[in-house]
Amino acid sequence: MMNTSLLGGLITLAFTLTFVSIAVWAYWPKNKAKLQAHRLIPLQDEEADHVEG
Amino acid sequence: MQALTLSGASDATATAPPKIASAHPVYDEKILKFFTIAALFWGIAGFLVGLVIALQMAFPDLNFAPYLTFGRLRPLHTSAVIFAFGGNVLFATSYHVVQRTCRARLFNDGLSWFTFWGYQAFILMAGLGYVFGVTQGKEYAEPEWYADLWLTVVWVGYLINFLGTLWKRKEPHIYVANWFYLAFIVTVALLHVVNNLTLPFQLGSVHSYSVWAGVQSALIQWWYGHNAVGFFLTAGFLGIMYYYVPKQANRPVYSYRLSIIHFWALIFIYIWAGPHHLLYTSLPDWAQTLGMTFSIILWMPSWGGMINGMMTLSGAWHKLRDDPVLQFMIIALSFYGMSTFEGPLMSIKTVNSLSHYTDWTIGHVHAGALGWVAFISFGAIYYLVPHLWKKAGMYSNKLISVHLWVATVGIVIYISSMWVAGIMQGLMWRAYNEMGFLTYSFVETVQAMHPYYIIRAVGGGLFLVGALIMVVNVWKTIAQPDAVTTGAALPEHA
Repeated sequence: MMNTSLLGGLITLAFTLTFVSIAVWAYWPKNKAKLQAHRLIPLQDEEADHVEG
Repeated sequence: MQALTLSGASDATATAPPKIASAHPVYDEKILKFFTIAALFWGIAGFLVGLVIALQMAFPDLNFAPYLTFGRLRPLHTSAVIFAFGGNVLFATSYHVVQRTCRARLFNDGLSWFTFWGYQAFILMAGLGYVFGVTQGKEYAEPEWYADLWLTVVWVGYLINFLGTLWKRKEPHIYVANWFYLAFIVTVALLHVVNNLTLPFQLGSVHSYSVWAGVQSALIQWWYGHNAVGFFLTAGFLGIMYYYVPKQANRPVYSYRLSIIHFWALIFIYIWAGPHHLLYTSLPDWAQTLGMTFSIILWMPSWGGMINGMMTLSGAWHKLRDDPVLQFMIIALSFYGMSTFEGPLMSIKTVNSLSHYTDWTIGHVHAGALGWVAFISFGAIYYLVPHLWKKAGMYSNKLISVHLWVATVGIVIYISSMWVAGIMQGLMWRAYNEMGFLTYSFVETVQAMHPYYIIRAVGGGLFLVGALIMVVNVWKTIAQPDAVTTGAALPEHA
């Protein structure tokens, strides 16, 4: 049966790998334009209303 | 055209379906007005009780037994400012941001109103309980089982309403502010349920026994307590930052990629920092060290987030010169940076051996609560009021400036007096003579605090005066004629 230290170690490793994967994905050069475009969402809301209304 | 569009989203449509069929979302803004007014009301109440208990510390004769003693008013103050003021601000802003960034009306009007009245009822249940001596004695989790159960029901309604709005969104991407709000809602639900698992003494009793006991109880309490700070007072208000700073500055957030790292780093790290509240207790040493280590790691995401907020103004710093609302937000971020530097510092065992149980902690908490939480809230309120009530702007920008500086001076007086008091207190407690006897009796340390308690009350008083100025300004703004009827332009970024 798996002891708690090993389980804790595996969970820590899984969390760390998950976080590192997110960081790599976020800063992957190819993803830059797509992700940075989301910055504009708050500034586009009123414009969208205006156009559609 | 724009004015007509926006007026279509005002009071009349909040309770009835829109008369004009349109592809554009008709937002529920009436509910936001209610939450905003509630936040102002509870804010003043909470700050006032804070001033009263500060004066009670300086002048113990002001304790009027049994209902108005420090022991009963202190949780009234903390709950009023955190849950009543902060909670209503979070409801108002999260319901505003989720609608705007999803381009969708709130999921269900009935649920929106249920969360409003249900939450106000919870505040009353909790507050009246404290005054009448009903408390389970857990810091920031004082309400007894019946209020806890009610809050759970309201909170599930909040979660469904928020998730439902995300579900029906027209914007494909979920903007980062909503991630922070959702993390706040989900984590607070988890913390609240686990920490408040209790059994009533007997059928019909308002008092209860906790399911948890001993050091496990302490650890769960501070897992809750610290994450109340981390997810209620930080994640939720970072949601405010990620929407209202860009809106007020009319510039996109500095880096969306950094916001992703900021979010996930906070989520992965914050939850483990609670044991730093239990250094030098019976908690196993490894758990204390774990709490300290994660607290220090928190420096990075906290400062990453602060930089992301501040650098939103990169290339447009001139906007800060004339806009007191933006000044509120940037000063808030400065206090966020300062208190998230100080917190990890205080979690280091060596520092904590001096600071723990002293007024330094109180100073630290207020640097974060007044400087960060309240200031970013004031910024959001000053943004929201003219937008919701369709005015050309706030009644007086001058009064916003007066509020800003009166409150800032108040905070600086408050925290610096508590730094001096706390460090002196810690040094006096640990001082001993060459024979190994303590140099000071406890009462001597209490007497030494007296002048600093008076100075602290002055700081708190100034903060309250600032908030009252804001209420007058909001009142006058609402009483102004509508921008629509006068033909005046709506606020610049409306």
